[in-house]
Amino acid sequence: MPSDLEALWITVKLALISTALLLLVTPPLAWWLAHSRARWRPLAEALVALPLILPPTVLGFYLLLLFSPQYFPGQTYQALTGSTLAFSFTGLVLGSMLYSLPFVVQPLQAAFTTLGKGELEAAATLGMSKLQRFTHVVFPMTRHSFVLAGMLGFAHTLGEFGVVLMIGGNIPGETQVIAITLFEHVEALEYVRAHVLAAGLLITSLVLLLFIYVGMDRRKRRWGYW
Amino acid sequence: MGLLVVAMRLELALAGKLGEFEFDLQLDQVMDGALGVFGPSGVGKTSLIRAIAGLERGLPGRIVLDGEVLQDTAAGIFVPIDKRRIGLVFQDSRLFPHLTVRQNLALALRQTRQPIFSIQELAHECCFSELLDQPAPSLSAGQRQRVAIARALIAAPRLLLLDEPLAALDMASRQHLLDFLQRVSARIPLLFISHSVAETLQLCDPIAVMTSGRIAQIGPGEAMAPSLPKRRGLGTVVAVDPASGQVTIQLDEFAPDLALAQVVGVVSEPSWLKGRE
Repeated sequence: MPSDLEALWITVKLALISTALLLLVTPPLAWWLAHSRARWRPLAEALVALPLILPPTVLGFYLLLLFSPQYFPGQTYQALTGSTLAFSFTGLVLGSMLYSLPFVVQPLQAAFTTLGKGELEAAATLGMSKLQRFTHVVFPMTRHSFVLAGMLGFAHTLGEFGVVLMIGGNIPGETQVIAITLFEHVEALEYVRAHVLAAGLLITSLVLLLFIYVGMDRRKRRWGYW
Repeated sequence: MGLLVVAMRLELALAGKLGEFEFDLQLDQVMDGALGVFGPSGVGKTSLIRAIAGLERGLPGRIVLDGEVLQDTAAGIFVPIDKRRIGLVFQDSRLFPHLTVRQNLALALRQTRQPIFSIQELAHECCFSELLDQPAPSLSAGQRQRVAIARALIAAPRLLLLDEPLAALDMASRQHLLDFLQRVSARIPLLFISHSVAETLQLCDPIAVMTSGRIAQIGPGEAMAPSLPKRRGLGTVVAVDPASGQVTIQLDEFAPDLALAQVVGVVSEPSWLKGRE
């Protein structure tokens, strides 16, 4: 049981850290996708959406290669920190960020697309810099989409399995997450412990989604839009 | 109000296409008081002020304000909008919907180090003191436009561009705001776009007339008045002949010239006409 709690803690920590990082890092990408007229934007959009349909093991396989010391990213990381990127919590965070990327980017992109440029032009003529326009106009006007993006990213990372299996190495206390612990319980025929984890994940995901949909509904009723 | 104003010069030479529309805008004007830009819809008045504000990157050429080069396409100069200190009142207000009226003004006030107006003063002048703590989206179109004018002013721009700012207002507040803008123009030069002859004549001197994509004429208000189209005025009935149904009407100076057998529309109550032009 303590190993289950440990796995739960790793999972929540992983989901929180990767979601927070995604929310910090991806708004410029979402903004670019929403407004760019570059010819290769559809390619960028397709790449962002790829984790939606790609088997997680495929993503995990390539990440495993990239993270290994034979290749440049893994090599650089090892040279800088002295430890390997594969089978580490940091590697897991990077993998989760890619895995949950579309769940965070797409709601933000949709919000930025519908935001329109009127208020932003007005802000600029008042003398507000790009950063001020983001913090004082864009973010407050789209903060509900930031909440939605964060919740979706968090919920999606909670259920991560394939990517973690490939790059995590299932090290208790370091890279062992609940989805894999659950799998191990089933393999060991420990159905009671499997039930606890499975039902826990099921209920958590359902509650998160309920929060999202109730919030969207209420906003739609009040403002006529999400 | 009523400080010494050092006249500033606006030089403009822009030529090019925006979409299918051809522009050739030439202007060299000392901005002192209110410059009116008059013209029917679709001649590019809005594009002109968007270019001056820095919102239109598609028009190549040169813009110099007060000796500072704001745009020089040949030299690769384009001063970003937020560095120009040119205010703009949009036709559609564009208040920040997540803020109250007061917060909209406060945010604009924070953008200047030398404020000219206070929130209270502008709320009083533009008649929305009682609306200060309302959320911006709850305001009517006319109220929003009054707040938008105040918001642009409170950021203390060195030049204020106004795009049909009074279009959404009723007659009484139009007159009130025209008087206010008149006083403002003694401190901040204005460039006022309108397709209302009466508004342009009352507030602006000089007046520029635009025809498709170019500034066709510019001159003192009095000199330009006769060449402005008269479109809408008042008539006073001076004689009625019930037997024949013929009515003699005395037209005022803004009323269009009528010809024999011309069919015209008639309303009995002038306030039903949105703004007397």
